[in-house]
Amino acid sequence: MNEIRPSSLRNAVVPWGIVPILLLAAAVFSWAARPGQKPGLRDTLGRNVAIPPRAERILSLQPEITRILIALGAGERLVGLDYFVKRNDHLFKIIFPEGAQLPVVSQPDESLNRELVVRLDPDVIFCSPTEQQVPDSIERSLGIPVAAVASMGRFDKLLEEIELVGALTGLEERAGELVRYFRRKVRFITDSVGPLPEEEKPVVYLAFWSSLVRTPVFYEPVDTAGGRNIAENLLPSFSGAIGTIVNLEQILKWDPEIILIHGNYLPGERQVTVEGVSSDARLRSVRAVRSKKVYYTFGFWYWWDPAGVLAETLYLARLFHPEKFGRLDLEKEGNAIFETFYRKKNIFSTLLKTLDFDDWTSL
Amino acid sequence: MIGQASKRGKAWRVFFLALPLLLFLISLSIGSYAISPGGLYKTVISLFSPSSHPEVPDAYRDILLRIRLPRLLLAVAIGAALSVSGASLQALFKNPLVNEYILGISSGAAFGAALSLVFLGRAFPPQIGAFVFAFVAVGVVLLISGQAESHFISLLLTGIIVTAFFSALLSLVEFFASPYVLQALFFWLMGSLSLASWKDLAISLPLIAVGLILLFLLRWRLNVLSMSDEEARSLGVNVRREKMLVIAATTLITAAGTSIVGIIGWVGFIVPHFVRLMFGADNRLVIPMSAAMGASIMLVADDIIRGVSALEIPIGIFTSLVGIPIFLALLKKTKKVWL
Repeated sequence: MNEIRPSSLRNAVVPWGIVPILLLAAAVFSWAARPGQKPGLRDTLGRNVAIPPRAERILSLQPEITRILIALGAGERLVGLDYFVKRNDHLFKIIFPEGAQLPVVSQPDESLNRELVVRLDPDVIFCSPTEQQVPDSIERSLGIPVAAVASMGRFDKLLEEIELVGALTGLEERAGELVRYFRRKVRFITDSVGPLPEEEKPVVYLAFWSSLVRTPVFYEPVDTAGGRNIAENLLPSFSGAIGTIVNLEQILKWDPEIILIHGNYLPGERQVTVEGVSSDARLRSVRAVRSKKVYYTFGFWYWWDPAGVLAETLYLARLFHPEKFGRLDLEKEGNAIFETFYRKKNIFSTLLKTLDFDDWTSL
Repeated sequence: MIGQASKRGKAWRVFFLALPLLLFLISLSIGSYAISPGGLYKTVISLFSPSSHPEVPDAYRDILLRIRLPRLLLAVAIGAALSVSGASLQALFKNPLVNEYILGISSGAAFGAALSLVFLGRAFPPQIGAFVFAFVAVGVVLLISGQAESHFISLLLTGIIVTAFFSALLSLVEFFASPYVLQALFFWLMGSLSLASWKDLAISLPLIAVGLILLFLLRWRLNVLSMSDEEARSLGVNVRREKMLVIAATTLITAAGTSIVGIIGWVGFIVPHFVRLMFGADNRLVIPMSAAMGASIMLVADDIIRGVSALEIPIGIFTSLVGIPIFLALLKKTKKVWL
C-alpha cells in the first residue's frame, strides 16, 4: 500500500483550499462595486470614482466640500463630519450651527471610525487628496464611493467642485448662481487691477501652516490680486498638496517686497506672527521687513471657504494696489460676499471679531 | 614598517579630527544665497570691524551670522552629540546594537518636547520636557531590564517596549493637539536644522558641551566598563557610579539635541561603527573620533540639503536614507562589527 506522504497531501489540499478563498475574494470585490452607480468623476488624485446619480446622504471629511454643501443649502444632507470642521473651524459654527449635532467620524492622524461610517450609510464620501491612501482604503473596505477632491489653491478647481456638488445634490441652479457670482467678483478684481507688467507686481512670500518656511507653490488669490508668489515655480512636497518647505536663506535671496502670514487662527494659536517675523533679526535685511510690509492674510486650512477666498482676494488686491482699491470697504464687501454664499448677515464681521482680524483688515 | 603604519594611522586621526573645522569653513560658503569667497572674506572681516567694508550688504552679514553660523554650529553639536552618545552606550552595554533610540532616550525626549510644545507653547523651553522624559524612559528601561549589561535581550526588549510606549504617548499628544500646532509638530519630528537660531543654541549648546566633555573625560573608563563588572571593580572603578554618569551624560546630550532638531536617526548608530572599523575599539580614540566624524557627516549632509535646491529636506529623512545603505554596504564588505 502506498503511503500518503505529507507533501502529496499538501499538493492535493492546497489547490482546493485556494478555490473557496478566491471565490470569497470575488464575492467581496463584487459587493464592493455596488450596482446603481455610474462612472462620473475623475478626482484630484486621478482616480475614477463611480458616484451615484444623486446623493441624499453625504459624508464629508473635506472641509471645503462641507462648506460648499452648506452654501448650496444642502447642509441637512450631511450625515457626518471630520474632526477639523467640528472642533477647529471658526466659520463652520457661524454658517451652520446645526452641524453641532452631527457625529465626528474622523480624528487627527487620518483614522476613520469605519463602523460609524457603515451605520451612517452615506451614498458618497468626500475626502482631501492630501490623505492619499485613505480613499482607496475606504472604498475597498466599505464599498462606498470616495472622491478625493480639492481646489488645490486654484479658482477653476473650486468652481468645478461647486458644480460637481451641485450636480450630485440636484442643486445645479444654485451652484450655477454661486459660480457666476464668483466669476463676476474675480472679473471685477482683475479688471480693476488691469494688465500689469511683471515688474509692477509686488513680489510676495507666503508663510503658511504654522511655519515661517512652509509656503504654497501656487496661490491664485495672490495672482488675481496683482501680486507674484515668489515660490510659484517650486514643486510641492508631495502629490495632493500645494505646499513645500524652503530654507531661510532662500527667503533672503528672494528678498520679497511683501510677506504674508497665514492668519486664519484664533490669536493665541498663531505659531508665526507679524510681530515675530518683523522682529526676527535673521530677516531684517529682507525688503518686506525693512519696509514693514509684513501682514496677515487669511490662507486656508484643509482648503478654502469659497466666500472667504473671495474676501481674501479683495483684501490682497487692496494691500497690493491701494491706489486702485483704497476706497474699498472690505468689511462691507466681505459681509455681502458671505451673505450671498450662506444667506446670513454680518458673517464676515463676526469672523473678524472671532479671529481678531479687524486690526489688519482695516489697514 | 610598523613605524610607518603608525605614522600613517596618526596622520589619518589628525585629518579626521581636523575635518569638522575644514568642513565648517567650506560650509560657510554653501547655501541658496550665493556669496563669493571674496564676499565671504569681507563679510567676516566686517563682522569684527563694521567700517572696514561698508560695501558688504546687510544680507551677507545676516546670512553668515544669523543663519549659517547657528545652523552649522547646531549641525556640529548634534552630529557630535548623537555619535558620542551612540559610541558610549555601545561600549557601556558591550553591544553594537545599542543606541539612544533603542534605549528609549530619543522617543522619551521627543514625547517630552512635543508635550511641552503642545501644552506649554513655544515660550517654554522644550529642552526641559525633553530631558525629563528622556531620563524617565531610560530609567524605566534600566529598572525593568535589571542588570542590563548582563541581560542584553531583556534590555533590548524593554527598550523596544518603552520606545513603543512613548511613541504611543506621542501619538496621544498629537491627537489632542490643535491642527495648527500639529503641523509645527510634524515638521519638528521629521528632524530639521532649518530654523536654528542663537536662542535655541543658547540653551542646548551648553548642555551638549557639558555632556560631551563629561563623556570625553570618561572615555578611558569606558574601556574598563566594557569589561565584566568584576574586572572593572578590581581595577578600582566604581562601576555603578560610572555607569550612571555615562547614562546621564548621554541622556543629557540626546535630549538637548532632540528638543531642537527632532529625531535624527542612524547617526548615533552608524558613526561609532565607522570609527571602530577605521581606528579600532579603544574608546579613548573612539569617543573623540566619533565626535569629529559625527560632526563632519552632519555638516556634509546639511551642505547637500542647503546646496542642492531651495527646498528644505528634513535632515532626519536624509541621514536615514543615506546612512542605512552605506552601513549595509559596509557590513557586507567587512562581514564583522567591531566593538
